[in-house]
Amino acid sequence: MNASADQFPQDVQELQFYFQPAEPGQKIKAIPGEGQDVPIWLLGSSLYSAQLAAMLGLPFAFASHFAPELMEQAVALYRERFTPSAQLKKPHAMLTVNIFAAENDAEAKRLFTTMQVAFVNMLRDQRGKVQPPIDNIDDFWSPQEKVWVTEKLSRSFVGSKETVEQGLRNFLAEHKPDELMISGHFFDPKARLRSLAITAAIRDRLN
Amino acid sequence: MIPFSILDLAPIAQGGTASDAFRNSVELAQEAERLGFQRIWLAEHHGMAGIASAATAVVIGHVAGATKTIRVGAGGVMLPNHAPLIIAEQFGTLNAMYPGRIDLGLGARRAPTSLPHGPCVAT
Repeated sequence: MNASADQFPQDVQELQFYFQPAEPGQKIKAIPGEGQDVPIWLLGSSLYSAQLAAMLGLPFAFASHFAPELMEQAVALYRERFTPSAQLKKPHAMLTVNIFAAENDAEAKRLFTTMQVAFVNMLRDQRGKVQPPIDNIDDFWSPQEKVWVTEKLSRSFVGSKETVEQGLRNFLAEHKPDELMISGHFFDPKARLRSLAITAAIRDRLN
Repeated sequence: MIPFSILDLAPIAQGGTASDAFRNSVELAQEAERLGFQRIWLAEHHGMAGIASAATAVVIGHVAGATKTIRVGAGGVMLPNHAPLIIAEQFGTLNAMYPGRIDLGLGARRAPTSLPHGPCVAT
């Protein structure tokens, strides 16, 4: 295990090397691995990760679903500094957002409380299993906790099909991601499947 | 429209187990595939009571084995936790099993302080 993340760029390049066709006499080989086309992406929520992805010519996934602060700056920097690579000719920026879509806004807001509670519990250092939704989040979080969690989860689209569609339409028009990744902590897997189906319907209407 | 994809943490709900979480992740991936999502990624987190995807490559193999066309990947592997050779072998193995369907997203956990060829603007 590497003690320092300063080793990260070298580790990424070492990993890329193992996926190349092996050179004659190469002693350390990844088998299986050598000569295989496994796309490498860089993930991050910092300007550093954006710059590294740009420099290495890799697709970049930004963690705006829980660390949105630098999203616009990071994506702009990534696109500006991108250098084409064997893997990727032009920048590919994927933005991650939370979506809680349900039959109506009230039900979606209720489902969202599972994720809000999880983030409050993280602040309180009381991490645990995924909790059921609650009726009134204001009974649960303090005003200070509300401010922090609301900022961290600001890239969340919560509501009926119409509400989420309007929010996504604005987000996609403003930030023009090359791909959208959808996250969200749900307690009930059936509610997550329902949200997924609504999201797919919205995607098809946005065409 | 741009592609839509899914990030899954294989959540363990109150009253549930890791086995339940993997069943739910498979069902989510199958439904995402049916609905035309581009990829589903699992994330490496450790020591979290509510997240079952710590052995990320193992879970990716399980989800890829239960689906046919959707891309499956890591979102991400925290590279400082591993020797790069081991990750190349794990994802080379997955790609040999499910050719052309495997993605390898990499995270650093925290921003390092320098770029390989120059100073960092900020972290």
